[in-house]
Amino acid sequence: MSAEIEISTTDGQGRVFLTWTPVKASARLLAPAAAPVRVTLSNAGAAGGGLVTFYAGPAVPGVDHLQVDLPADGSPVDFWVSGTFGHPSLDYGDAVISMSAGDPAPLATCDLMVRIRKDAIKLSDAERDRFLVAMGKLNDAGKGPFKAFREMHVQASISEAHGGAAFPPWHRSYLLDLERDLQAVDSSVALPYWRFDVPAPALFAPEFLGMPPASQSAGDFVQFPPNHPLLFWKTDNVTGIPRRPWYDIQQAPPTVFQGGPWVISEHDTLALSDQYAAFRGMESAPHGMAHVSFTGPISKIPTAARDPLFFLLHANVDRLWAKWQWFYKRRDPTVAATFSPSPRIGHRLNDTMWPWNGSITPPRPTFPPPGGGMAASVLTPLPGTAPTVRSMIDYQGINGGDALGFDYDDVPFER
Amino acid sequence: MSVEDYRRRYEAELQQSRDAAAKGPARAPHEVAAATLAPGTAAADSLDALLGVLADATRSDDDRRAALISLKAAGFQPDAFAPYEARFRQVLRQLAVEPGSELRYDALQHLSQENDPFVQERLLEGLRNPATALVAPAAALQMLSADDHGAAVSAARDVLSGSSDTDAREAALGVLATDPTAEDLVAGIMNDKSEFRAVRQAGAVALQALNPTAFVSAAQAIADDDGDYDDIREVARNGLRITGLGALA
Repeated sequence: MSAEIEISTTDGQGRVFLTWTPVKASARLLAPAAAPVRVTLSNAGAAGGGLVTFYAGPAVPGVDHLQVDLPADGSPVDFWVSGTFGHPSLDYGDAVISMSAGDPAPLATCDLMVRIRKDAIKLSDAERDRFLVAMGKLNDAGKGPFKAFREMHVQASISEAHGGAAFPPWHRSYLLDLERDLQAVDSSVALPYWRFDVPAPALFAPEFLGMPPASQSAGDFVQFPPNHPLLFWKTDNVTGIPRRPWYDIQQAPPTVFQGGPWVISEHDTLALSDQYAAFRGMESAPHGMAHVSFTGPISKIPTAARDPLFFLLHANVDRLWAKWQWFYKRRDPTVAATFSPSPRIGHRLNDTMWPWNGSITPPRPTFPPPGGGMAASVLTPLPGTAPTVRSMIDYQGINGGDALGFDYDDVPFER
Repeated sequence: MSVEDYRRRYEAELQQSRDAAAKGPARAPHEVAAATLAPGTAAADSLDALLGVLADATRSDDDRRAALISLKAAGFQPDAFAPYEARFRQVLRQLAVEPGSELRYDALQHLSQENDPFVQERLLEGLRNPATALVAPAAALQMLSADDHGAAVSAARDVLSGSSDTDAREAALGVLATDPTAEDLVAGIMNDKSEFRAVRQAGAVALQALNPTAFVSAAQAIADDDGDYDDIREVARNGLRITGLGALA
């Protein structure tokens, strides 16, 4: 007797990826049987790897194992699965669903990955290196697809992404597009985040994003060891990454500077307000202050995307928004507390966002939009090639519908 | 931990944080968020004051550096900061040539990212005439490397032909990574076993940028050479891993 498990979030190579959002799955016998077969679905992966939660239906509590009765005629039985919050994978295949009917040998197994965005300083060495290799290949010494990401975040496009209501959604879309391109290089990669309100010396170690020479007389370019995947990093005309912190890298940037809020803590960020209009003041503190905690391209909006650290910084900004959304239950985009628009085009709920919308009509930027439409995903049809501001808000599909296909390690799925 | 327990724990943490904040100096939520920079607001007045501190050579370096950082942060509210940009640039230019100032480097570094011609001229002059140098040669070359007009190419070649300063030689190779006529020069450095290894590494990176096909050939030879240094062979292998179809197209 044999059976199969199918999960909706399976890519073209047969690889399965889960986040915290429950997705549809099914199980069936591969050949008719004399009678229905009762099977148990359970976790069978490596210790310390990803874990799966099972659901009998889309809106029922999850369990760590699930019994289903498979029809004798081979008809599929639907169930739902998600990653178990707090138990992401370290690598593809460390999470396994096993389906058994009581015999020692399972009827079917399904290897998968609970692919989650993590705190950069908590990555394993292998996770870190896979991310860096994917970034290096995407950059391809200045000639790869990363060039478009650099060109999206420039002086002429500042108003598309900053100073208005779309600051969080635009950057969420930007990160999602980049992450999907990274996953086209290595599907096991999820974008890590720099949690800038806690000390992160490991992030600035030579094996990760590095530091410049101790003496400024040698310049500010980050020094990488010979085997580092970013050794050949190039943006604009410049090979290398100029960056120097002005704070003690063994600590976090200060929370207060010159008597004003600086890189404020996560708790203080969430406490800004439970209303979106006030919450997005985080664009200044802590977001802007995190940027200017260094000299170099990352300290200015038009040049910040030249530095890979930019994407980890913004992954944390996005995580803070996601955590705020979870904590205050802000997923309904029609409610002002969740999203309140600015009058400028690109900052209203149903506006499409540049550059993905391909617009060259003023007041949008008039130069050719770099990068084309949003990268597609085989795991979800969302957000489409020209994402709207609205499409970035309910990223987990809490209100029904599909999710965007990413989650953070410390932001759960909770209806 | 269940999601419900996780929420309860987070609520408790957030409340502790609020309680701690309540015991400190009063700070309403709207004050915690950065104020707008609308003209006439306290924050806008503070920008004028910050520019004044930055321009004032009698103030301490610490005060002036703090002002510089605060002004850079204000740049992250671009619409509101736009009226201050020109004056900010003017003050930075003054600072860039201020004798003995510890902020001279910071000002040069900030303006060089914008390819500011004022600082480019002075950095180049400092490379030509070390008595007028505002920063060390390596730093000057790095600051000039962003310029796509190749103004620093001649100075970079002079460093490679006449200087034993390894930091400067590395930085010079970074500049030459944009000069198509420098391919043979950088390839030679990459392959020169008598050259400092950090400089050879910079040569490899420069050659990869100039001519990926030539780099692949040279890197393959180095990677196969048991008589070359392990770290240089690793640089070669690294470059071979990274060099992809985009670079070779």
